[in-house]
Amino acid sequence: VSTLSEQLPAEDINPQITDSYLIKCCLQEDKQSFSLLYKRYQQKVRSTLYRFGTHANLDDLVQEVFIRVWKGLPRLRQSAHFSTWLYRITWNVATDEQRRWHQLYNQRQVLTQNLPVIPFNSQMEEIHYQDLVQRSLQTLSFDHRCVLVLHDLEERPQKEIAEILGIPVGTVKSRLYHARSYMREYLKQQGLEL
Amino acid sequence: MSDREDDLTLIEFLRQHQGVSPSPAPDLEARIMKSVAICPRLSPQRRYLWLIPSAIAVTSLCTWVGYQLFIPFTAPVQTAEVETFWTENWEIVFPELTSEYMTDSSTTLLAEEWLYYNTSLENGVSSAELTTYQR
Repeated sequence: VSTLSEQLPAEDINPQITDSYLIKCCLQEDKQSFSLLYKRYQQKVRSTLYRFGTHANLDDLVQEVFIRVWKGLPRLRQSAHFSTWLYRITWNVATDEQRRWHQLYNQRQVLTQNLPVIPFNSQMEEIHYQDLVQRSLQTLSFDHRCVLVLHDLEERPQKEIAEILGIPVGTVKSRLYHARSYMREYLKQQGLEL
Repeated sequence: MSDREDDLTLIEFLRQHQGVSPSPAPDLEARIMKSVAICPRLSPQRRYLWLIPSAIAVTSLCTWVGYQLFIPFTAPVQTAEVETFWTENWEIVFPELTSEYMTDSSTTLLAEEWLYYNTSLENGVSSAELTTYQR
């Protein structure tokens, strides 16, 4: 396998180059291929981590995910499942972060809840709704939040979510149902009937 | 509004207002590539380590299942063989007793006699004394 760095510049992310091919090159220590993998997936990893609720030190967490990917690539059994595997690593990193900062997290929630409701005009409506969605996600339990984010925002199928989180499909369905119910109730309490 | 429509409305709202994650630091990619350059990779061989506990578990399960299946099938056979062995040997050792007690319930009686005989031997009673005593 000739290295990709000989074939195209790093900025050129050709969608025809498959993940499997990039992984194959990465396994031969081709850093340029890894750079392409990073470019291809960094935004997805970043937004998933963000929606999982890890807002602080987001860059560090993205870095942690990609270092784990680089380390673990030799153990990836089926390169066709790279995307699922990447989501699982992302979820693992988010879970570790969640455990590490759990106490701080609770304190932050209390502070947020005590904040006065700021009146808004029409220009601020979008910002208000974004804040509402973020706050409602934050108050949702981590397990339910992950399922909701992966299914409703990342649009991953339930079977894949079960694989990513290592839980049965029935549990995914149950968590999704409860998460949606909770979100609806939370938004209703905030004066938003959906 | 049905549950399905409720769900779709909620999903639409969440997607529309989910917000955007903050932009990465300009040097993030460089930092990652620098870390990767000095980062040791995991050995691919270790991916098969999970086979060891799995093999132990499967072997234990097979042994247990085999043991459970083995007992009910072999026990009656062994019992029948032992009974036959007793009957045949009893005829040789005590022919007169055997002819006397050879009825349908002879197996039980012979077993009791045999146990009694063994106990006597252990207590130092000779076969001659036992024969006399029995008569």
